[in-house]
Amino acid sequence: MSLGNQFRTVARFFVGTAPRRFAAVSVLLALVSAIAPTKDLLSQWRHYQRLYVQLIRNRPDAARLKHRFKGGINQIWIPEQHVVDRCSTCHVALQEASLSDVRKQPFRPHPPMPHSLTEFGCVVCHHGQGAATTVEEAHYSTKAWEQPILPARYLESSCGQCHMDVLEGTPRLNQGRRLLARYGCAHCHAITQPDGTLVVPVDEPPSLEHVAEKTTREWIFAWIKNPQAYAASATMPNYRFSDQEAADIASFLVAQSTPSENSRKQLKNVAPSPGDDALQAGTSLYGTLFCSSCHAIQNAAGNLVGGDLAPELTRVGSKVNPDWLRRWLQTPQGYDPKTRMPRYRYDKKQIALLSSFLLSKKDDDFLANVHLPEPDQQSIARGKKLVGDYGCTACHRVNGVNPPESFAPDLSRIGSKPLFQVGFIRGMPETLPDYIAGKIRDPRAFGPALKMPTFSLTDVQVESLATALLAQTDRAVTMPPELVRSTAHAKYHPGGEPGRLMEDLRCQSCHIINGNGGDMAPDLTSEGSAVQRKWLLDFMNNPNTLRPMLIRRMPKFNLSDAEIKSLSDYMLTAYQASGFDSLALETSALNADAAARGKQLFYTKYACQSCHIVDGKKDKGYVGPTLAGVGDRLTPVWIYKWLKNPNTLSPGTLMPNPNLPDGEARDLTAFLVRLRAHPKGDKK
Amino acid sequence: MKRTATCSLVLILILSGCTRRQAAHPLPTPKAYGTLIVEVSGGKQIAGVGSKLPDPLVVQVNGADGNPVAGALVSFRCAGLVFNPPDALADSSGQVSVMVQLAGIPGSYQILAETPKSSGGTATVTSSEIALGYQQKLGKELSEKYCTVCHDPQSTPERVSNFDNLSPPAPHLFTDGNTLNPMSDADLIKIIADGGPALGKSPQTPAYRGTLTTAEIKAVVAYLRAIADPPYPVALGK
Amino acid sequence: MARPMGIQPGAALHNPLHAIVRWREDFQRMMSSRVIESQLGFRVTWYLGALTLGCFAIQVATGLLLMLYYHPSIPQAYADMKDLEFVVSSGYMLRSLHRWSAHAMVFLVFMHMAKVFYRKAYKPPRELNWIVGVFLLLTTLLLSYTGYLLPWDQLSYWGTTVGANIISSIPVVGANLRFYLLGGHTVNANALLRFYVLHTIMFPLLAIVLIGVHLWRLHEDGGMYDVDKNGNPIVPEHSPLALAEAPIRLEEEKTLSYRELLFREVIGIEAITVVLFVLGLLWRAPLEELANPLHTPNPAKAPWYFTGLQELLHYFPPFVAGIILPVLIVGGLFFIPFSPFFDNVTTAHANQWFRRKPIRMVIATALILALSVLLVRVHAWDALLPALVVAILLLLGTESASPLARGFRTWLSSRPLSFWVMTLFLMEAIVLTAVGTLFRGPSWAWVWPWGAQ
Repeated sequence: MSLGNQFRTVARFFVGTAPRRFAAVSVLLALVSAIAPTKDLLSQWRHYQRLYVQLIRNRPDAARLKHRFKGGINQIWIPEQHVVDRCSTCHVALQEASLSDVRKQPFRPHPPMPHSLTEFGCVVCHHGQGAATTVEEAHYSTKAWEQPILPARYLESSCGQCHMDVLEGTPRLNQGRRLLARYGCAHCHAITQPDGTLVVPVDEPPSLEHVAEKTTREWIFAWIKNPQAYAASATMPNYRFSDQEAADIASFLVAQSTPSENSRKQLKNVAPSPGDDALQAGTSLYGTLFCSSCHAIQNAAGNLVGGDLAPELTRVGSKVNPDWLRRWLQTPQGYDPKTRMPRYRYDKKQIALLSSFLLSKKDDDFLANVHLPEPDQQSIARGKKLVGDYGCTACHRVNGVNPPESFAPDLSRIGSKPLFQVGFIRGMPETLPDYIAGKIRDPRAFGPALKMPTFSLTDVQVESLATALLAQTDRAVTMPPELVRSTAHAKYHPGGEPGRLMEDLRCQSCHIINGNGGDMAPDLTSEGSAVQRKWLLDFMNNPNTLRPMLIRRMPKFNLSDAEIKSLSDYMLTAYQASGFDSLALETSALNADAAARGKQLFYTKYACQSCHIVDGKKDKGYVGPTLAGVGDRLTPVWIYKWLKNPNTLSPGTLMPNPNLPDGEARDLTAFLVRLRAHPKGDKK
Repeated sequence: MKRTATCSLVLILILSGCTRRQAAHPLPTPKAYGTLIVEVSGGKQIAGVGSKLPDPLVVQVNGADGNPVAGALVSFRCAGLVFNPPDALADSSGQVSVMVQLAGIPGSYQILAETPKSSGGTATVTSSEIALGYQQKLGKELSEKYCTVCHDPQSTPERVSNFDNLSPPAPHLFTDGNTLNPMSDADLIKIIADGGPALGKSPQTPAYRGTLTTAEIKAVVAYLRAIADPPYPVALGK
Repeated sequence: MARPMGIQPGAALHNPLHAIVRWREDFQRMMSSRVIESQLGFRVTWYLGALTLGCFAIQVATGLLLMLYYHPSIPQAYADMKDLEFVVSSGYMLRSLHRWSAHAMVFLVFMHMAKVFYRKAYKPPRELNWIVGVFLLLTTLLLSYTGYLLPWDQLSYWGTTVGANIISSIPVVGANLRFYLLGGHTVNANALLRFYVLHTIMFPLLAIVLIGVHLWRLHEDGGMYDVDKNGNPIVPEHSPLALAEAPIRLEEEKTLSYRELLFREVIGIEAITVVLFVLGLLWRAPLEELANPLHTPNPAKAPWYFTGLQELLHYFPPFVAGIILPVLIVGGLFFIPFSPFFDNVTTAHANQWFRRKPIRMVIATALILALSVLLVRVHAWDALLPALVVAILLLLGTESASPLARGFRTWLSSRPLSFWVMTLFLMEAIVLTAVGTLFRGPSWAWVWPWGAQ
């Protein structure tokens, strides 16, 4: 029989008549319908669970692990938060700490973290598709789910969705938030936190209303072209203006400048005496006046020495008009009423020496090649238009140009921006973190008509900024409000005559009082309960080094006695902590026996001398304030309460809480209270 | 006719389903060969998981005469890490600089840098980098705030060290694996929580039980284990 | 109708077993038992009705199982889709089966209708069945449309929105109709619940009733039948038509029992089930992102059976393309069995003058010219194509004097007007649906389907 005939016979056997065809098709249907359930048995998550069972078989605690293992689909289900996270179907060992040596995913346990897995689920921190049980759908961006897993380097942004407070475990997020404030992003971009507070910029872009009396057109040109060439630590970004555009802007800014209040005043002026002595004296005066607490200068080795609260002065001599400088040092608010710089009440000699020192800080190469043509009306008009178009007045006050409204996109919810609204550059990875980081790194690459300037940031800074921005999501809006950790606090301005003085001296540039102010210097909110009056008066007259761990120093303000008295009395009355009445401590218990016991405790049991100096000859520990004259400085009640728990009086203080029993605390207080300052001055 | 049509149809379907294989990055051809490779800088850095190391890893290829060899091919290998670039030719000073991005698992990573030798085989050098997870990062922040002022003899512009002001015994460095590795986790927790006297040591170490929570103390211990040198051996199934 | 078995009504009261026999008889009656053996063979267009019924049965079965896991609320509906895909054993299979079976059902309904038309199975006495069939077509489309929304993903939301917007272009009542359909001004939670009830209860009940009537009419009208060379129906001897003209000769039935037909229909249904299973294994039912009212995908396409309409919408205003044309089409479909002028197959109403080429040429040219001018004016090149093909076919038809003349062209010349209209409609439907589904990309611009997606 031929092959064709054989085939036909066989075929006829199976599908010759209708009943046989029915049987054949029925068998086929049964087979085909069995495929899907069979594929279920071979699903990806079952494979990983089988691998896990194999993995734990040979471990020391295999029996316990096997007992705790639950096969099948595992999920974390929190209906109130719309959380359905099935990650633990494959990541079976998330809560098995004994597997922490395993390096292979998905079998690693979750590292210890502040929240438990069942509190919020997985997706709130790690993103991805929680409902999925396959690797592709859970981890990557697919047609059905846009948001992939968040890369590990941006993970801290998830903490920032709810936490507005500063957390120890999120250094990148904290740095990013500091940078957001420091680089003035909030001048153009509104960023509203979930608790309703706005991100407030802490940089202080100077007003340009009187800029012509401060500096020259050439300097403005050079600055606009490349701010970092003048001051490496400048936060002003680079707008990539052409030479013509920069010249136009400089012409306009000089043209719009009006005379300031300072320029109308009579300056007590003394011509600086020439020669090296003046320079030497000026340099040491700069040191003793602690200008470097706020201003930085690059030293010979190229390192920046000083604080970053105020402009860098490395080349200030090439920038400022000498007359302007002297007027500024005398009365900063006369030039810019909103400046953070206090009115130091320098005398004539100090101003002369300081200005000669500062004017010596110049760089002749900086403006060597800048030659600008004379400004004409068209140039000024073009400059004005540029200033308006590029939003300069979002940061700087300029006459004749109003601050722009909604100049840049609101970034309050940028972390939840849907990808269809994002214009990616061809070839870049299409994820939100890459977009944000790429935009910060090089904004103009995303389109020719964009106006955002380029900031000089390191890679690490860009990643920190991206982390902070990725934290701005919709999540906190959907969370129950009690879970959002807010740092909102009311504004505080001291009132009355002392308040006016404190404004003049700009105390809150460095000190925090009632939640408002800078973090360079101690919090003064409870200072009135802490210190004794006589010490405070002496200190205000002549601030000295008190806390070794604070690198910036309080300057001497040349205050009059009346001013000192007014400020001190105000502080002692208004800045009191609660619970500081006479009943807080039995002063009769602070007798000589107690003091002797206290000395024993101080030196032998707790070795306090490893951080605090009491006897300048023997003790060397220099971490906490010197306690040599503490009996004159601090009140006994404060010492006692501090020893009981320093954190309640100064949250986040470096001093560990020694958990002293009451008796020991009293004894130590008795010892410390008897430490009086030497009548001839402070011990160091 | 029908058969030809069917065959060609099937062929077309198969070919249309084929995907082009991704062309792998070709290795650059070495212009010269060295005999020895050493690490110049950038080893023993610490960064968070998934982050880029702050400084590049720089290695140098030297010849038999001890002079640097320009144009030698250097390749960097470590599972899970991202190198930019993974393979490069040494510059005129015989050095290759690579930016390293760490992987997702905390711990120490051994990066193998290898260069082919002219006689065959490869010269290698291993650099270790440390990736910190959340717990270790928290521990790092806390230890830098509370501990390093006494435990780190180096002063920085931001912090003057208190190391020399202490009476003996001097505190050991946190990277001192020889001292720390033999101590158990429970001992470390005890000494941090209750101070030196808890283990019979000097009271110059204060008790931090009232200042740090248990989780925070454990985080500090985790950080210490991460940066120990020699490295802390991780035991199976504690 | 005489009862073949002769059991009296009321007999069941005395003996329960007789009730079973009576049910069997009724079932037998439902299934047309009068089939000539030669007609049982498999043909490509045969069994289409049975296959459609099979798809409907699959839909009911999978639909009931899907209902066990589905909540018609937002956003639970989408979460349930995820559950089906990832958690429910073979859940993805249930969903894929349901989806492909729905597509298959729409396709088969159209095929069935075309077959019935071209086989002239709408001739008297089957006009009522044709009407019921058109209603079933509409019900199928509505079932598909309402079911499309239920996954609540981007595809569903915007497909439904496009469809609802077409409805709102009806003058006077359009906006109200849309409101009643959606239960609101936009597609929202009300619409979802409404569509869910329509899809799982109202339309299936309607479909079941109509299917019952359809099958009953099928039986009443003489069962499945064929046509002879002249296009006249071969009426089986035992159909009501024949019985009305001849006495009953039941004992000499040469037809087979209903089991034969049932067997073959079940084979067909099982075969299509196998095909649908395989489709479901190879290509999963698509699921896109959660419906986002703020993000219109570009392009936002209606379900594939409506993309033809959407393509027309591209050329004509919504009122014309969305209302006038569908009304004309559906009206025409209803109208098909009725006009003798329209349809002159029966020799009694032979329209001599239409069979003469010159007149046919004039009428045809005028109609096609009008249509072409209209289409060219709106640049509807893809809609113009079938019109030109029909025109060419019309002109090809050759009249022949000899009654024995065979050949394609002669056959063409004897086609009635209804043939040309239906053919034009079907070709336009195919071309426009194909273009709308495959050849249209973002902003409804022309793309090649094999190009970058």
